[in-house]
Parts: sequence; structure tokens; C-alpha cells
Amino acid sequence: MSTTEQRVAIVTGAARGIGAATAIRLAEEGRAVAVIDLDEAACKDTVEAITAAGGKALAVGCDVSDEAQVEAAIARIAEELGAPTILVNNAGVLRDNLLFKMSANDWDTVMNVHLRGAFLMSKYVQKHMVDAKFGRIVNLSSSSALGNRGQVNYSAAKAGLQGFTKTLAKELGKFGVTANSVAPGFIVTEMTKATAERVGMGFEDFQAAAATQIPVQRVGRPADIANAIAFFTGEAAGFVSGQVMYVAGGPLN
Amino acid sequence: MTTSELPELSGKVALITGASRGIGYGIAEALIARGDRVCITGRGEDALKEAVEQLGSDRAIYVAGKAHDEGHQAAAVERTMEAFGRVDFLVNNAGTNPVFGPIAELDLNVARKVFETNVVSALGFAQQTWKAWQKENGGAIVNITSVAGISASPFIGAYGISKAAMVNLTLQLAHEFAPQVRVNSIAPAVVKTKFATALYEGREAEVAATYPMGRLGVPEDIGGAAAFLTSEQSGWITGQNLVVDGGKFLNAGVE
Repeated sequence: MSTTEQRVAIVTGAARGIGAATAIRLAEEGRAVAVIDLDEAACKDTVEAITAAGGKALAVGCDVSDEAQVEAAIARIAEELGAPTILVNNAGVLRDNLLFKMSANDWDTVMNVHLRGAFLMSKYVQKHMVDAKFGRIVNLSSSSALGNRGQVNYSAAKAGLQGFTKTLAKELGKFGVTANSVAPGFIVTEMTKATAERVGMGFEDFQAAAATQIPVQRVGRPADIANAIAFFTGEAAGFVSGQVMYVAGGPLN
Repeated sequence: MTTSELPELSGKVALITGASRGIGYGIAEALIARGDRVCITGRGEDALKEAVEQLGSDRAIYVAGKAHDEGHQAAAVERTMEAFGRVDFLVNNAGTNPVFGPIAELDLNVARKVFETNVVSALGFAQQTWKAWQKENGGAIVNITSVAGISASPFIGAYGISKAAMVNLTLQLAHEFAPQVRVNSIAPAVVKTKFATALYEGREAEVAATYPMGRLGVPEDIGGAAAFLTSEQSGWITGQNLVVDGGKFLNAGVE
């Protein structure tokens, strides 16, 4: 593939929030973008934002934890946009609860969307990357991977994605494919809004309280994460692989 | 790159230590390619002069001196301020790795020298740029650490210990200089430069085969990461140590 040919990127969970900002940012980088979310109609705003700016995008409805749907979605993307060589595994859900109140169902849902979803997407996209001798995979982890009260399922899944990332980096490196993970801290999205509601705070107060605990003294925006993903999926980052970058306004380890 | 091909000025200015060649020079090239102006430092005046000619003398200046000399640190920042009126970014790249062998028999004066050049110098430059510009006007600092600072290496132990100290210097400065200044580091594995020749010369294919990406690093790999960490694109990233190693140190598993 010549470098002048437009690369095809897939962003899962891209109807809203970080996923939408990432899809739009990758389109600005010149990528054709497949916008995946559970409901194809919900992808309309993201796709329109890209096409209105002169970019190329395709809305794809897909439950990333369902193997048949993933296989069909990737086949459709390859057919309509071209072989995908950039994959951003962003789709995620929250089912927060303290351990003693958490149902097995809520555990499974979170594991399935994050881990089974990232696994299935990567499995079905990797062939295109290997054929192209080029690939960029970014998995969305989270500062919650370091432990967060009320998120035993989510933090385990986000920590799991870090190991997943490192193993992909080892397996796929020789094919020109890099895999990295971006771990956001507090980002203003509908997901953190739901967290504010869960803990019984107004969203503005919740953000202000969070900002005082962050060294750069502000909460994050989806664009902060999209920018980091643009770096990891760019041509210049071809020697960066298997890394976890916390984008959190301060040091986290 | 000839001067006529250079982009419009970005208005930003970087001070890059140890940049007459190798990784430092690669970073200078990457920042100039996006319109920054740079001041490069190093010990050898001839090599610096040649580097500035290649980078474009309207975009680059140099100050010669020893990195650990406080007078040189102050002079480099002062000269950058005089020439360009600001110093938005500091890249602490100057480093020394003078010995090869086990630390059990290391001359302690050599250990002190390694710390002086790699760690204390970086702090000195950070203090100077903070005072002269960044405290009031903001900016970013990038420390060049090493994968030797996050793992044990058979022959370059003293260097690794000093690079581990730089990783914590990065964390500490990220806290103290927030919110005005973001401070991050880049930890390269073996990058093909004169500095690292002993680690691959005569057996490059063999060494490269141990990297998941199947190759050694080149200065451009570090330049791209430094450009990102000194841009608005990384505006919410601070205190991080970005490993740029082609996957080399992903070795937690049994193989």
C-alpha cells in the first residue's frame, strides 16, 4: 500500500464522548473512519461531523462482544471503505457497584464489552494489518485500572486491557503492527456524568472537586484523549509499542 | 533541509542539551520541522557549529559547554532568551555513559560523574528555564531517560541508576511545576547513534531480531515523541515516562 492511499481506521463506541472525538480527530488526520456503536443510527452525529468537514466516514452498528456481528462489521468496512489498518478499541460500559452488591451479570457485561470486544475486534482486523505490513491498535484503558472504589469490574477490565495490549505488541510487532494503550483520567463525558449522579453530586461541583486533585488543575476533555490516540496511530509512532500512557493531567503509576 | 523549505515560525523556542548529533540532533530537526527555533548545547564547538549550519542558522543557535557546569546552564538559557526572547521547551538530553562493566567494581568517582552529568545537570537546566521563562509563561520539559532506568542491564548499571533518578525527577518536577509546565520523559531502547555504538556495532541484525518491531530505533523515532510531548496535543499529559523501544522491554512473560 502506498502511503498516499487513505488509511482506514475503526473506532468502537464512537457515537459519543471519547470515541466520537477520536473518530473526528482521526478523520482530520486524513483517515477514512468506520464509526462503530451498538446502534447504527446513534452514529449519525459523528459521521455527519466528519463528512461536513470533508472527511469520509461510515456508520456501523455492531455489538463488539458478538463474534458474528464483529466478523460481519469488519467485512463490510473492508468492502465499503477499504482494508482497515487502524483500530481503536474504545467501546465500554459501566456497571458500578460495591463488590457485595455487584451481580454476576454486571460483572459479565463489563468484561464482555471491554475484553471480549477488544479481543474479537483485534482478531478480525489483524489479518488486514498483517497483509498491509502496517497496523496501529490503541486500547482504551483507564486510571481506574489502578483501582477505584465501586468499579471492581471496570478496573479489572481496564487493567486486563493493558496486558492484552502488551501481548498484541509482542505477537504483531514483526508485521509492522504496534499496539498501545491510552489510560484517561477524569474526562468530561456522559460516563463521568453518570458517576457524579451515582455519588450524589452535581456534575459541575464534581468536576471542580476533581480538578483540585489534578496537577494541571483542570479536568480532561475528549480531545485530550483523541490527541494522544492520533499520536499513537500516526506514522511517526512506529517504534512505540506495548506502552500504556496515562493521560490524566498528572503522574499516575 | 534548506532554509527555503522550512515552515513558518511557530513562535516557540526550545533549548535542547547534548544536541550536536544523535538523539538530541534528531529532536532539534523535528522541532525545527514544525517551525520552532532552537538553541542546542554540547561540549564540542566544531560539532555544534556544523549542526547549526545543517539546521539553518536563522532557526538554530548553539552554546558550547559542559552540561554539569552551572555557569554553562545559566549561559545557555540567557543566550536563548537574548536570541529568541523566550524558552518554551527544555529537552534534557545531554548524558554520559562512560563505563561498560559490572558496578561491583565501579570507581565511585565515575558513579558521581554519571549522576552529576545525567541527573544534577537536568535539574540545573530545569531550574534555569523555570526561573527565566516557564514559571511566568508556561511551557514543557522533556527528559531523555532510558529503558536502562526501568530495568537491570548487565553492563551499564551506573547509567541505568542515573536514568531511574531522572524518571523520578520527571515525576517530582511534574508536581512542582504544574499547572504551568508539563514535564514528561522519553525512555528509548537502543537508538542507532554514535553514543550507543557499543551496544550493536557488528551485530545489528542479531540485536534487532530481539525487538518485536524487528529493528533498532533511529533518532527520528525519538524526535516524533519529543515533538508530541512539547505540543498542545499533549496538553493533559504530565509526569509520564513514554517508553519508545520497539516493544523490546515487554519481557514479563516466559519465552
